[in-house]
Amino acid sequence: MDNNRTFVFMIILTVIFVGINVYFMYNVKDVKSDAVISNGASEKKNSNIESETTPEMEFEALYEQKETLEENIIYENRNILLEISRVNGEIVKAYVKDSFLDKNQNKKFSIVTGKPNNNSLKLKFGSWLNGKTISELTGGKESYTLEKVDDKFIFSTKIKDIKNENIYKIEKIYTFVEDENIFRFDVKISNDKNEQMNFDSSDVAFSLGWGPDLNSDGQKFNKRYDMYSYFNGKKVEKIDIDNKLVKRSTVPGFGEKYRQGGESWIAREDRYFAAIIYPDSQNYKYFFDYKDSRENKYYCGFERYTENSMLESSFYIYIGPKIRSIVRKYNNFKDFKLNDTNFSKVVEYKFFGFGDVMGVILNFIYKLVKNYGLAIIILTVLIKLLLSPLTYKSMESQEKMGKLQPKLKELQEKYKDKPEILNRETMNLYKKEGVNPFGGCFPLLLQMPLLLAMYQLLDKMVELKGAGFLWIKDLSLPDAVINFNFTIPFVNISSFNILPIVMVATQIFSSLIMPDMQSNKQAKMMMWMMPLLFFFMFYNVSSGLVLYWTVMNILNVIQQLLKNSMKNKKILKKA
Amino acid sequence: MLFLNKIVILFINIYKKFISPLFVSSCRFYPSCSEYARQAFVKYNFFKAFFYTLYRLIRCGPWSKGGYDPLERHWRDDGQ
Repeated sequence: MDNNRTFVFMIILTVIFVGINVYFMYNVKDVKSDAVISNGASEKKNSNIESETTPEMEFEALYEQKETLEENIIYENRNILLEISRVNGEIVKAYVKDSFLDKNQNKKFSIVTGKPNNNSLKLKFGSWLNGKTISELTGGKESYTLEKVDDKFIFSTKIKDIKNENIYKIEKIYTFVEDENIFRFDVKISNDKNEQMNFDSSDVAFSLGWGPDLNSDGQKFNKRYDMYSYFNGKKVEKIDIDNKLVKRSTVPGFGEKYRQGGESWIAREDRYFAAIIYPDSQNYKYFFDYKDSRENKYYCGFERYTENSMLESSFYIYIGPKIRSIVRKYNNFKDFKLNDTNFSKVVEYKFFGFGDVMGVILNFIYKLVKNYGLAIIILTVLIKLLLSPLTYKSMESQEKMGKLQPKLKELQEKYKDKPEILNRETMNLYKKEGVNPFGGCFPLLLQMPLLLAMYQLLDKMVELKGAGFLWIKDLSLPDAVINFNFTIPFVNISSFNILPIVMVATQIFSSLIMPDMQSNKQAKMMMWMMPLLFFFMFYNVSSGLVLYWTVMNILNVIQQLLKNSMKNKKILKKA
Repeated sequence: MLFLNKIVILFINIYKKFISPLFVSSCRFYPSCSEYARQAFVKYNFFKAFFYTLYRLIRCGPWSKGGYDPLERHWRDDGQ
C-alpha cells in the first residue's frame, strides 16, 4: 500500500511538473535569429505589393526622399539607447544600459525589439485593425525630414488627401532628458482645411502600437515573466492571451478597453525590465493585440479619436529595470510635469513585501562585501542562525535521549500491537522527562515564508545581472557551462548546469545523515524522489537562487553533523 | 459542516498522505498538529477550528514540553 501511494504521488508530481513546463513555455523560434531588422528592405517590399494590388490611392505623399535611408538614428545617454528608423521615425529597438548596476560593464540589454515591418513603436493612421501606414496610404515610400534641435528629434512629413485636397502635416517628436530612463514621444497631426481627419472609416485618427517583443535575456517567451500589463487606476492588471478582455472580444485575440478615468500606463514586462508607455490625459481606447501571437508578435497601445484641424498627443515612455528605487523617480517627474504616474507599481511586491525586505538586507550586505555570491551566502547563514535558537533546544534534548532508551523499549514491548497508545505513551514519557527529540511544527512552518520570500526575490532580482561568483558568470541566469544546441522537451533542459547538480548532491547527503529517515521505507524512497524533483524544478532558475538553496543544504548538513557528534560525545562519556 | 471546512480537511488529508512523509517528523505532540487540525475542522466551525489550530501550532515548538494533547483537553465540546 505504501509503495502504491508513493507511485501515485510520483505520477501526480510528474504530471504537475510537465504541465507547468508546457503551460509556461511557448516553443517559439529563437528571438535572436528573428530580430534582425532591415527596415528599408521591408518598406520596399511593402510598396511593391501596394502598387500591384491597389492601383488607385486616396493619398499622395508630398515629401519623398530621393534615396532610401536605411541606417537607423541612434539616441544614447547614460541609461538608455534607442535605434530610431530614419525612414519613418519609429523605434526599431530600445536598449537599457547596465548603468544601474554597481559594477557595470558597459553592456546593454535589448528591451523592445521590432520585427521587419513591425517596429517597436508603430504608428498607424486610422484604427489599429484597419489603419494604414503612410506607405500603405500613398502607395509610395515613407519618408520624413529629420530635424535635431537640442534634445529633440523632430520627424515630419506631409500627405495630401486627393479627394478633397486636404494637406496633412504629420510630426513625430522625441524629447529626451539627459541621463534619464524616460523620454517623451509626441504625435502631431494637423490639416489646413479644418476638416475632420479621416484615414479609414472609423472614428480613430491614429493608433500607436507598442511591442512587439521584449526579451532582455534572449530566452524563450515564458508566460510566467513575459507579459503586458496596465494600470487600471487601482491596481496593475496583467493582460495575457487568456485574459477575459482578450478572450471575450469580438475580434479573436484583440482586446479593447475605453478609457473611463483612472486607466494610465501600459507596460511590456519581462522578468527584469519594463517598457512602460504612459499617455497624456486625453481620451484613448486601450488595445491589446494578441492576434499574431503565433509569430511571437504582440502589441498593445492606444487609439486616439479623430479631431478637426489639429491633434496633439504625448506619450511618456520609461524603459529600464524593475527596481523600485529607480522607477519611483518617475512617479513625479518635473521635467515633463508628470504627477502620480504610478510607474513604480510595475515592480511587484515579492511575497507580501517580505522578499523586498530580504532584498534590502541583501543589498546592504553586498555594499560591504562587493560580491553578490558572497552576499547570498552570508544572508543564508544569517537566516540559519536566526532559526538556530529554535533548533538548538532539540539538539540539547538529543543528548538526554540516550537515558530514555530503556524506558522507550519497555513501552514498545508493552504496546506492540497498539501503535496509537504507543504513540501517546511515548509522548507522555517525553513530557514527564522534559525531553523531546522533535523540533516542533512551528519552526518548520516559520521556514516556509523565508524560503518563499527568498525564492521570489532571487528569481527576479535585476541586480544579479552580470554578477559573477566562482565559475558562475551571471547569478541571474543558470550557470550553463556547456550550451547544447538542442532542448530536451518537457523538462526544458538546453544546457549543462553544474550548480543544480551540486545542490541535489548536498540535499541527498543531508537527508542521508538524518537519523530517523532510515526507519520508514516510504520516507526512504521519497528521500531520493524529492531531490530529483528539486533538480528539475531548479534546473533553469537563476543560479543565485540555486546557490541559496545549496548553501542552506550545506548548513543543514553541518547542523546535523554537530548534532551527531554531540550524541557521540555523550555515548563516549558513558563508556 | 461548512463547505469551507470540507476544503480545508481535503487539503489536510492530502498533506498527511503525500507531503508529510517527505519530511522528518517534527511534531512534539500526540496527536500531531495536522491530525489535531483535521479533528478541529471536523468538529467546530471554520473560525473556531482555525483559531484552535493556530493556538496549537504556536505551542508546537521547543518552548513547550509537548506530549499527549488531544483536542478535548483545551476545548469543551461546544461545537455544532
